[in-house]
Amino acid sequence: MQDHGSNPARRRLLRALGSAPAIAALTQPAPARAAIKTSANIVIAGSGLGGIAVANRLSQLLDGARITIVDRKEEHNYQPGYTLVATGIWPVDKVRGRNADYQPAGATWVRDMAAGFEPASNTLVTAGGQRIRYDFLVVATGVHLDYAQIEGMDVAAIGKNGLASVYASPQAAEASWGAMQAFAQNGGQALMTLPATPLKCAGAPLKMTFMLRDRLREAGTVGRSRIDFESALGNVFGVKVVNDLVLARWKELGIHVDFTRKLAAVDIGARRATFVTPENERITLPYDFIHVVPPMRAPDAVKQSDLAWKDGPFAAGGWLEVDKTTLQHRRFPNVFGIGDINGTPRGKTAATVKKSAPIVAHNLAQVIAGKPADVTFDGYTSCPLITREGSALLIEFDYDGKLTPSLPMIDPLQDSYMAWLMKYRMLKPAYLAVLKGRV
Amino acid sequence: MYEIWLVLNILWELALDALPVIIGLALLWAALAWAASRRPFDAWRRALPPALGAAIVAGVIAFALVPTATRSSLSELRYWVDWANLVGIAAAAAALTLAFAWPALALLLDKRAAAATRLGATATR
Repeated sequence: MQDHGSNPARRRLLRALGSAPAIAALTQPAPARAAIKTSANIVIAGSGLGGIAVANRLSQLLDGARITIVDRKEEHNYQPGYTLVATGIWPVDKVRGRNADYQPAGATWVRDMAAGFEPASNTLVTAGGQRIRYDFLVVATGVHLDYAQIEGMDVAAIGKNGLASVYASPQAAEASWGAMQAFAQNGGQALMTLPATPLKCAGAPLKMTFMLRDRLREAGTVGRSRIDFESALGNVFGVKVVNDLVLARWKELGIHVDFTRKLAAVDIGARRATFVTPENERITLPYDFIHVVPPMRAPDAVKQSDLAWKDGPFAAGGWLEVDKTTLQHRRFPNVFGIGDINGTPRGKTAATVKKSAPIVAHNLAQVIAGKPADVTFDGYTSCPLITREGSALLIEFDYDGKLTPSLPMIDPLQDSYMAWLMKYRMLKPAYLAVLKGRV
Repeated sequence: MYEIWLVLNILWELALDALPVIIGLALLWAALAWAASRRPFDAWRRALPPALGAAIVAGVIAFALVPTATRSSLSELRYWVDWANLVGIAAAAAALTLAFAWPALALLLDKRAAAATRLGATATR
């Protein structure tokens, strides 16, 4: 479904009406320096938020560059809205749009997937066998949801037999809401899982847990229910102060937490999940509802290429080896990374892209102009953590886990209607502005 | 500065979502303002108190209903930032109402005054 916010016909209509200069200015990209003249051939692998935002920004910054976007996906999904769909707050249509509506004019769109990278020869290889050469590359492939690591898991079964998983797709999020509704009617045993890998939107499993508890309260089935949060991480959130707050809240709400259980297998028909502890003990638990969070890693195209980290904490997942401040590849200076694929601490969120896309575009333009990448990223990310329908915490932090509220008056650890309103109504417009390269 | 630019962009994207309604309201307001601008100052002066009253009522209604309309409730307003923002939203609703009500009432009251004058003149004759 086409997103209403992107309708160019309506935009042309408004311009034609001779709107006030201030309004007309808003339809234009953010003021930029004079465009750099170049004939650079830039390839962007991936057309999620990061890929398209950087493409739009580069088209503003550069004059004469050839920009090619490689991605087969026609649909553009507003992924930060998946938790709202999966908890019955939004209809699924609100997270579905079309990639074609957001790409910059003049960019070439190769409708194929990146299957491999040969950075030594500046070449991207597609699944269809095309070899696309580049002068500069932006890797924006996102993550691979590794459901295959969970024995018995079937993404097509999400929504049935109490199986939920918000991450897989808009349809999976919608089906997860169906499973949550059915569970809330009668209550029972719920299992919420958390793997030990880096996650995109690490707050999503927590939001699902808070909202499940809220739906049980609404249905009057809290007394007949038990929620167990099974973490393989040793905690539930990477920022200690937030982790402690969430655990305290869950204690009050009667949500039980185990810190050393990794989901290894699920028997969907029998509604039984098997967890593995660090001591390799296998524990099988029955459930009426389970929320599965898949382990995440880099897509094979990156993981198996020379672009991936070869050692250190990001090597196992095959994440992109970028400098965490400039987001430039550490060994191939004509390569940059944006978004979830980056092997950097924390920050696989749309908020990270919001702050880092301008930096990546600027630094790439610098490199094209023969100058060093000179703007640095502090790892900003944000998580509007829904605590129940109508209330949320607006948590913003950096690479070091230091809380960094955008406005000094915001208390990140305070339940807030405004934080809810932002999540419910204002963050999607902000996302669209990022996508179009304006913010 | 960045936050201001961000908010302007959010408002712009929200406006794009409701463009036909906004254009319709803008045209209606322009027509009202144009028609009312031809009325004497006295009509505007007399219309101001009831227009302000309507604006206050609209502001109070917005204050009470916006949380519910956004799937929350007044009980979720937990600290001053929540209250300040909701007051801001209510004030915007009041200002919008005033922008429409003032010229509309100026027109209405001037018509009534003219009708009363005509009636008085007929009675005198």
